[in-house]
Amino acid sequence: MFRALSTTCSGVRRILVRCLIVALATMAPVWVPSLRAQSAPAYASEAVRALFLINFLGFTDWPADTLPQNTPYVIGVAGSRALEEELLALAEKRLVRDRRIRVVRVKNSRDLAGCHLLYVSPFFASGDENSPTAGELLPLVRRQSVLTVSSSSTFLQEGGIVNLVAGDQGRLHFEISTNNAKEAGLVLSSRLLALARIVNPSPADGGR
Amino acid sequence: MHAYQPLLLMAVAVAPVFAQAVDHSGGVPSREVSELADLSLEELMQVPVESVSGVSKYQQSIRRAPAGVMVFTAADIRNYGWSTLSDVLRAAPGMHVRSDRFYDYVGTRGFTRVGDFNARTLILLNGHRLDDPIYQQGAIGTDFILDMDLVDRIEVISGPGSPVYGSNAFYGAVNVIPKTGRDISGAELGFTAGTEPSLKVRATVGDRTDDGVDYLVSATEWWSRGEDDFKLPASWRAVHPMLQGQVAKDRDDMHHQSVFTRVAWRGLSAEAAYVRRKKDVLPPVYLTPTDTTSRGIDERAYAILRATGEPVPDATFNAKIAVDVYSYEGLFTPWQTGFITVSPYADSFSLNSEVSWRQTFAEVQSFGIGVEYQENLRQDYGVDLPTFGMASSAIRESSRYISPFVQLDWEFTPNVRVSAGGRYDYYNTGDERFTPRLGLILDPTPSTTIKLLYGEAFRVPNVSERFPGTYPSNPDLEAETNRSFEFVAEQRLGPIWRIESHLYHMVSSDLIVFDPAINTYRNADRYVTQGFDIGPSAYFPSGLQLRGSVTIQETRDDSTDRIVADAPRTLAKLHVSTPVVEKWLRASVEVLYVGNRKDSGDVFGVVRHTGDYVTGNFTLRASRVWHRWDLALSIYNVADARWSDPKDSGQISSPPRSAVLRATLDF
Repeated sequence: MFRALSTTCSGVRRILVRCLIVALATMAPVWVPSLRAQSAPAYASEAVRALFLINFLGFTDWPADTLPQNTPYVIGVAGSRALEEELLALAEKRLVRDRRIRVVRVKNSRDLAGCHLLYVSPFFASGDENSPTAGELLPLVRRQSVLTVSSSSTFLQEGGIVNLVAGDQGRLHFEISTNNAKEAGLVLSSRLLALARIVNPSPADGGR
Repeated sequence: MHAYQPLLLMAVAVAPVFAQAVDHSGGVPSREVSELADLSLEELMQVPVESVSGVSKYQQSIRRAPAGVMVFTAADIRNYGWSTLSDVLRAAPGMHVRSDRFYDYVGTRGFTRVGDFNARTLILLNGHRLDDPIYQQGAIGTDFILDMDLVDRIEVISGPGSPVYGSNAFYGAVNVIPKTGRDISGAELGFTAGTEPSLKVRATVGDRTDDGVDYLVSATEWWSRGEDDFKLPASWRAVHPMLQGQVAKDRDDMHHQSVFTRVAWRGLSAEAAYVRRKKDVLPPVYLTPTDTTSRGIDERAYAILRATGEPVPDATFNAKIAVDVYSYEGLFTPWQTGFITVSPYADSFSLNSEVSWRQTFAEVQSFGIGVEYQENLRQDYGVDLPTFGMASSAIRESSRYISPFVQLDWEFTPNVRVSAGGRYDYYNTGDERFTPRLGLILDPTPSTTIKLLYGEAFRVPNVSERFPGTYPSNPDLEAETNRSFEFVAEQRLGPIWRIESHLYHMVSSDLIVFDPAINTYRNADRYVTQGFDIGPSAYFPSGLQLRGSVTIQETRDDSTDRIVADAPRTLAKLHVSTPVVEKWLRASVEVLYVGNRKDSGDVFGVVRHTGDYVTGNFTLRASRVWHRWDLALSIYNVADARWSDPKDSGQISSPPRSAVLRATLDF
């Protein structure tokens, strides 16, 4: 078996060189036109999500006691490190309604204090399986004026307010539960609601 | 330098940036965010995004890296109870670790050179090389500079890394990325107690302030008694009447102290680290009697200032300046000196700086250029004879190198990328090397990635090889070289399963050996390595994680056509980690198989086999207990398997079964 492996491997150098030549030759006709006709690149999902979150801040009114004058907006992120990094970079140079933005990593219930917006990653985008889930966090912020955002089919049913959904050709749109927003004491602008699909799952029928 | 190499340089323009292999952006917004920042919500809803997959940002870029890269995360380290960098490397496909319980040595691509230092796999922290400038030893055991609890992730890069990092990235490189203050967000206290017995205490404070200042300060103190009653092998006792002891009592103590601190603000950061590790050395390591002191103290420290920025659009500028200190002091009474007590020492002081510029054109090409400069102001080493109050040898050296590098990445189509790079290293000691790298990365289907890679590497002789103490120097001694061809295939089967395979052929030439005929070192050995590994991995939505790999490889000495020492032909690894009770209790099992190896037979003249072995480790971890605690119980070497690792003085047996309890309190 080792002899066989040995002969196979000793030919690897030759084979690799050939593969390279063949590959380069095959690609040659493709190169020149491809440089001009690049298809529109898809953007990283977490970067675009971060921008959605920042935009949501501007379209939401919090009760005055939870957002006093001259205090920053606090965004809590559970799970996605990539999204958190994008938000941090944005927060350094951006104001929303003349307020700064603070980004907090939510590892447990104590980190929720003072959050205005809470983003909970779905499992697959999380990267840290020990970060808390929507099921654990939502009960803790119920009726607490926190705009909760995630990407999961059951999020609104569990009490969440905004659900980001990947739609046609990977474009993001969002669903809003106005009932859950009202329960949280948040006023969402009509412009935001006009862009959203309004979904109000009733706990009784367990769906939409 | 070969004649065709300047041509190759001109033809492909060439270099580094494994840093680009994996995206370490901190504080700099991604291309997407800068481009889209001013879009309204309506416009954002028209922006196409990549489909969400389980892999995070850096794993995405690994697919594009011109190398085989394996990443281990803080969660892996915690789940499997890995206490040193060696433990992590044991889990990497194709790697094995040889330990004499003084130092650990990593075998990459199937072998280590018994008797040599750990100098052919470059160990880096945040991209900064950690090997000392005297022995070029990369510390991976308890002498590693960073507490494993402070690791955010570890990138294990297989294959020649010299076109990026220069000397010593001969068979691969390991880059350890520490946590940031933000990862701590407050304070942490860590307590670890083991049955050896061992005790480790860690205190960490870190956060990111509202002004964007990220800081982290951490200190660790760690004691271990090791194996209290170490039974000496009969073969060893036959060497000399002075070595007649049966058992070495209390000769395996270890004491580790380390500090790590980092402050970052926008594009600026300052980082400093220190470690002191004192280790008692078991009698078989240097053939010392059981009743005399044998110990070594290693100290390492560095301080780095870094700046990164985007001076013009689509350009990244990086600058770094670092100071490194290393010191070693040993005390032994070995058989080889006729039981005269010797105290070897080493002492070094180096400055290192690097600047690089990376420019992206039309989003499909990127070009990087930079230069690294290192000044080794002090490279002293020698052997003192405390009994006689004199030195047996004392070498005082200094040296410097300068190394420009260049790298070009070209995405011809979204599915076809070419990466070419090269680095020219000029040493004032006479060595100059150009090492190129060429990679073709293809995505023939959306779920398949194929990489065809060619790379070269080198290792310059270290100070102890150039000036071997009381032996004459060999003025003709030059660098060892390595050439490697590699084929990497990655197949993703749906969102859960992934299979990765590597096939490689490598020729290492002019390997430096000590030749008793001329009483000094010379370039002699030529090794040919070939092999493949294949392994599936899976991440289930339930939290179950699976990773396995099988490696079959062989390394032959070209002159004798024999398999070399410490080169297992087969390696197999299985890692399974699963939630037991929802998300808070998780069980993880690690099973490692290392095939039969030969020892070097240097001392006894008889080559022995170590036999193969299987060992298993088990960890049960509870997260977020009473909100603040993270608890883990690990049992190492569950079946109490005993095996031996080859050593230049024979073989040394492995540690027995042990258990460790870890607790982390999060404030």
